Amino acid sequence: MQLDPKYIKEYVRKALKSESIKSAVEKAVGSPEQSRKFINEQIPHWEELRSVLHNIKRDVIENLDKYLERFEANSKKSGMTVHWAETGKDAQDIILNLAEKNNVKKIVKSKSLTTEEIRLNQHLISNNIETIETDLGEYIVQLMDQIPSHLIVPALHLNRQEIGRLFSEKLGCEYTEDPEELLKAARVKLRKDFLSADMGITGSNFAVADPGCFCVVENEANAHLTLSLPRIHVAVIGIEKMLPDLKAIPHFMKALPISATGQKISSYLNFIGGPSREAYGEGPEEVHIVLLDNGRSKILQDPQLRETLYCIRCGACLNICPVYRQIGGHAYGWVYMGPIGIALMPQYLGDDCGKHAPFLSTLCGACYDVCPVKINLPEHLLKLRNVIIESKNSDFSERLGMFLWSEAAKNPTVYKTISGSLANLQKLLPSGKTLPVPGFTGEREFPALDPKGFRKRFHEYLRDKK
Amino acid sequence: MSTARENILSRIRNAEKKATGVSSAINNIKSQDTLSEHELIEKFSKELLLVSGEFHLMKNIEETAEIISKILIESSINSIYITGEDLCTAISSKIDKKTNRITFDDIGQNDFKNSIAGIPASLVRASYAIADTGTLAFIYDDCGNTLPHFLPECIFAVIEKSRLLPDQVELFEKVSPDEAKNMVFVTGPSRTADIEKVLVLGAHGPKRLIVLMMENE
Repeated sequence: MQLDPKYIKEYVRKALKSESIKSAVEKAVGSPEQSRKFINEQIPHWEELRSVLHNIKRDVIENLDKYLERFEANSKKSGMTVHWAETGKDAQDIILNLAEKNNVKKIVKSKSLTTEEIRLNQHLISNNIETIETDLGEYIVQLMDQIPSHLIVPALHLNRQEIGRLFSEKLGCEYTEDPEELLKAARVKLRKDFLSADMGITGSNFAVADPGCFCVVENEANAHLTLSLPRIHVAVIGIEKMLPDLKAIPHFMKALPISATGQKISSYLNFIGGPSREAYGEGPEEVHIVLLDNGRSKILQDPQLRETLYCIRCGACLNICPVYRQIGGHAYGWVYMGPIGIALMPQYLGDDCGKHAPFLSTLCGACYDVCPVKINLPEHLLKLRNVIIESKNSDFSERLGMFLWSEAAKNPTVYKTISGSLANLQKLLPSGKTLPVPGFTGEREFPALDPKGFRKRFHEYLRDKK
Repeated sequence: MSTARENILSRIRNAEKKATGVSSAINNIKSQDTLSEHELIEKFSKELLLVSGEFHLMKNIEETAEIISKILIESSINSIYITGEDLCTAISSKIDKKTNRITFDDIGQNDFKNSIAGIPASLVRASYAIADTGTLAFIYDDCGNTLPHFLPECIFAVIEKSRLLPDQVELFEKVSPDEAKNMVFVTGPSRTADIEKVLVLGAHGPKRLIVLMMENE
């Protein structure tokens, strides 16, 4: 199932009608109040930490060229090969060429949103290279031929019965709903794939300029096996993932797991600084790093909006977002979802696919409050909305409605007459009912107009005061 | 014709820059209060237990071997891979003879990964332990390979008490960047909550991690 962000409004309408999506999301993301309480207990200096992480990312993004050059030089010194991909298609081609040149028949992958961004799996599979997701949630979603519905919990939209039926059908095992038995079935199957794969592909949570290594954070050990068993490794790394040096790692690792999953620390943190087969008897003979641009350097052109490149993909903004909690991840139609997703969509995908996205927000600011790197998402969404409106890319009916309102609002007499008439018209409706507004009140609860109106009440107040 | 590298770097360089001035950012983070050795061990043990790891404080090699033997028998595990470190070799010589102890020489390099995958337990040595999160650090330059730490279901990890550090910050002060760049942090057994957010241990890595901290080396 491939979603297209162009149809985001349709997906949202469908999601709003689904109670199962809401309950799956609630179950997966839990209570925001409890999460915040836990964070404050575990990290009393949380606000200070956020500021430091923000400043580190700011330094990196403002000097990204230098950090990329340093990362490249150090990685090459350690025997890794660094490739540069301007577009997702370039990255696909680089990786396919590597696979074909090395006679790769089977690839194992650990969870990587960057590789989903560039639709790498589809490209490899359509070129007859077996490509297997090994993170349990991603594996389930791959078997279902779907896309993930959450940055961190990809299969949160599926229940155990659906997964039980899926495994029974695709893995040939006996039907079970027990998560432990389901995991066992996946472990047995995937262990065979790990041991026989020719190539491993991961993304990376952090790329460290000095000494030139990349990090993969995980809980399942699938990334470690992906890194340690096949003879060739490819890491697809967005250029914005840079950190200056290893001293930054403990501080980012204080914030990332707790924001993502509520864990104090993830089970595994892998540091990869070069091919290891010769030195240690395991691991890849070759390590290839694909530095991916795919629109990031374009985002960097805007001094304000480049802050959206600070994102460490923790998913905290999704978990707290009242919109995401209503509609789930598929409704966004793209690999990045929730508040960070709607800020990135117009920047990456352009007006055609991204023009509705920044409006999928109440601007409540909760995302900004929880973001470990303090990305001011509400400010950026407002700017993106401004750009869309000013380029006349919003819906005609909305532009017409706002025009008529603004013309009426310029003239107090006109405004008073119109609002008074509407209030009188409303008296014809049953009590408490509001006047219908096409395209708006059909799907929203809306309070009835005050029959008196503010001006009348204010004059009464002044009169009574006298 | 310019390359992708040149195009990307040139776009980045041409962007309008903002001032940063953040060189001492990390130094502003408050460090934790200094804990005594006993407090560090308690902290490590508590954090490890929270992530479903197991912890034993051992006086010496004999005691360590005894507890390994006991757990192997209780779990009906009849073979264990012993990694090549001197400490592991010394402990192995005192493990109950009923258990089949396998070393690298018994397997060889050729089919190492498949052989290790078929052994239910292993005895490994960590490079460092980190108290504030219950983490073990395995540095490749120190430990060699890590397949014995990941493929078997039951891992016995020994670590000397003297190698227990308060936090990751201290570890990165102690270990050079060139060593640290090939390393893995392990905190508890492997896990997943991808099915209805139900936590299950033993995802693709170990299901049991038993840390044996040795008071005397």
